[in-house]
Amino acid sequence: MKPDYTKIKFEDLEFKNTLNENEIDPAEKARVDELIKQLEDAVDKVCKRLKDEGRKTI
Amino acid sequence: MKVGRPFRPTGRRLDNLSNLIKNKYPQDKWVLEPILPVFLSIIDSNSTIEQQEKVIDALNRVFNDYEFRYNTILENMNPKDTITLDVPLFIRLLEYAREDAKTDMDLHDLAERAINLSTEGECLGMQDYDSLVGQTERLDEFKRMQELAGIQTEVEKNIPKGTKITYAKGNKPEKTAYMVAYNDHDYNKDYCVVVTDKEDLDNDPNNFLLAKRWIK
Repeated sequence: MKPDYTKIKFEDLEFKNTLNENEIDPAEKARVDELIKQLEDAVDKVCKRLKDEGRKTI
Repeated sequence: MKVGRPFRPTGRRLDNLSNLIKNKYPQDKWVLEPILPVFLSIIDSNSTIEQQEKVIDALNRVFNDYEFRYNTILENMNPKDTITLDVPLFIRLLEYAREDAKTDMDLHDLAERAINLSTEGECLGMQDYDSLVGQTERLDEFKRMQELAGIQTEVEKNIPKGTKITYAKGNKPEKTAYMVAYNDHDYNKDYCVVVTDKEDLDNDPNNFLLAKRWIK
C-alpha cells in the first residue's frame, strides 16, 4: 500500500534503533542494505530527471 | 542497544518538500512516490549508524536538486508553523468558527490545512478559503468510506478461513451499500451482511453494527 505522505510528519520520525555494526543481525543488515540500494537507485533517477528538467527551465 | 538518533534537519526538509509538492507542484508527485515507501521501510528497521548516514545522504541529494530546480530553500521554510492571514480571511474564519464548525476537530483540521498552505510563509487570503474549509463535506465522505472499509476488514477477520467472500454493491443505484455473501449464498438471504449507506446510518446507527452481529 502506498504511504499517505500527506499525513506523515517526517520531522518527528526517528530510526527505530541504532545499532553498532557487531550487534546487528547479518540478515537484517543485508535487508537494510538492499533497501538503501533501492532508495539510492530511486534517488538517482529522481535527481537525474529533476536536473534535466530544471536545466531546461532556467 | 541505543535509541535511534533524531534526524530532524533531514526530516524537516522532507516535510517541507512533501508540503511544497502537495500544495504548489502536485505535478511533481512522482518525486516522492518512488522514494517514500522505501524510506519508510528503512525507518521501521534496525540499522547501523553507517546505514542511516547513507539514507540521509541520499535524501539530501534529492533536496539539493529540488532546491536547484525551484530555487527554493527547503530547510528553513516556515520552521515555527506560523500562519499569516489578510483581514477579510481572518474575519471569515472567525465567522466559520462561530457559525459553521461543528466540532473542535473541524477547527484543528482547519489549522492543519492553514499550516500546510503556509509552507513558504506567504500571506493567505480569501482565495484560500475553499482550500481551508471547503473540503469538509468531501472529508466527511472520505472518513465514512474509511469506516466502511474498516467494517469490511472486521467482517473478513471474523469469517472462518477458507470461506469464500463475495462483495457487491447495493442494488439501489443511489445507495452505496456493501454486501458480503458466504460460500456463494445469495446475499439477499440469511447469510448476508450489509453495511448500509449514510442515510440509513443516520436513521439508525445500529445498522453499522449489523455486520458484526450477524457474524456472531
